[in-house]
Amino acid sequence: MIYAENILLCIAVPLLISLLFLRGKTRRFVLNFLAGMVLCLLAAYISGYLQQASGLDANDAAIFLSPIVEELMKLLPVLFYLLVFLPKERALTDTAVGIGAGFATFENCCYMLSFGAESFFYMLVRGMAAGVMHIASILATALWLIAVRRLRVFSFSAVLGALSISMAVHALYNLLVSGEGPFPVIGCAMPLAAAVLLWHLHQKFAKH
Amino acid sequence: MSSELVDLFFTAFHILVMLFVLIFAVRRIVFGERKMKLVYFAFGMTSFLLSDLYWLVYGVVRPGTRMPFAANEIAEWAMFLMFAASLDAAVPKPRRLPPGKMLAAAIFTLGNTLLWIGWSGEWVQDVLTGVCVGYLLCMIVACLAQTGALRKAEWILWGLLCAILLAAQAGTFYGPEELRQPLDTFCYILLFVCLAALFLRALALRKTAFPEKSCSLSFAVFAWTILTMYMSAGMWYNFALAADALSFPMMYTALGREAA
Repeated sequence: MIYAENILLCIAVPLLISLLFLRGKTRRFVLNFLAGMVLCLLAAYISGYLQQASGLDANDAAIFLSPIVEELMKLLPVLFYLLVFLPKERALTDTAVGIGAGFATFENCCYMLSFGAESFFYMLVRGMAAGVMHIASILATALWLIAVRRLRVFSFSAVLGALSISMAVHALYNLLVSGEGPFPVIGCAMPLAAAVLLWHLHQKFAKH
Repeated sequence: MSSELVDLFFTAFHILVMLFVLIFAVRRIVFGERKMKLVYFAFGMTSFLLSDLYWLVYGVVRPGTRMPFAANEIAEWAMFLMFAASLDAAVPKPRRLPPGKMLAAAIFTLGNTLLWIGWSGEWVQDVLTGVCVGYLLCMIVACLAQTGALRKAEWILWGLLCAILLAAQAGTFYGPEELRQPLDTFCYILLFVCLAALFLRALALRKTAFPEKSCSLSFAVFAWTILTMYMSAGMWYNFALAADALSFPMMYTALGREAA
């Protein structure tokens, strides 16, 4: 049993205070980072409720339900920002990365408090896999939304498509790491490979 | 070869075909042809590809277990909606909505949805899948009517076949015990004969002067393969999956011709 709200409070207060002294892009990044951490907590509440409602055990709920809830929670602020503020492409990807980084950081904090952080190697793998995965999935969503806006096909189905991409990538990762034999290795390598691919795409988007 | 290995082989074939078609579609979009129908088609293919990949990985990681509600279902809903949007963009407007045919499509979808619920017992996901499939079917019917791809007698024939199929499928649930197996076999025969007929009709229209007709029919082939997959099990499912894979190049070439 961990007290996730207390952990959030402890990490968020210094960041909230820092907002008073920050300006511009840095301030926006910290704000998105905070939003990502809050969303992680909310996603955990909703996943917990759905686990009870669906009757799945904790492991299956983490594999099958969490990707759906977490990606939906991450998409909502990005979509809100896109629709209400009509940001530039660069600002949208920055927002997405901030939310993803905050989400991943808070999730990793809670994980370490639950299961310990003794193994350097395991923590490194955890950071490079689950941590990177949250950034990669929300960045993929943001790039999809940018493509949709550029190609003038912004619609409900296109947004659902964006959400389905991030959910499927996240769910694939969860499924692979839950397996045995070579599958966890493939699963752990997947977020890094996705991040490299997305970085390449991000550069291309910035040029054209 | 075990049945699980055969299933994986067919799923891998499906993924490979989708990947090739997606690469062609993306190349076409990147090199200038930014038509909405192709963009939506490529997006829909991406969603379906990831859904299929998830299915494949699930089959490898957890063989022989039933998959609970997962992210791949949402990817399939997105795929249905985006394919409907692609067809909507491919066929010229204003759209004439034939009320009787649309109602028949909606009733057919409702019947299918009730059968899926009967098979799986999963209300929420089957109702949501039904809504997305229903939207695609209504769009296909509207486009078929708009383009005049089917004659009046063909509409009546397809209506009858769909009604017989639903009745026979319902019979496999609620009919007398001794009739269930023959009805099941009859349903498979009907499904695959109709699929073959639709394929041949779409192929015959491939080179007509009215590419939008071919477009509507190739999407109808795709929708029928999906319904066949949802109504099939075992080896029949794999045959339907292979037919579904073949419908992708058909849709892509129809959309491409229209775009040219």
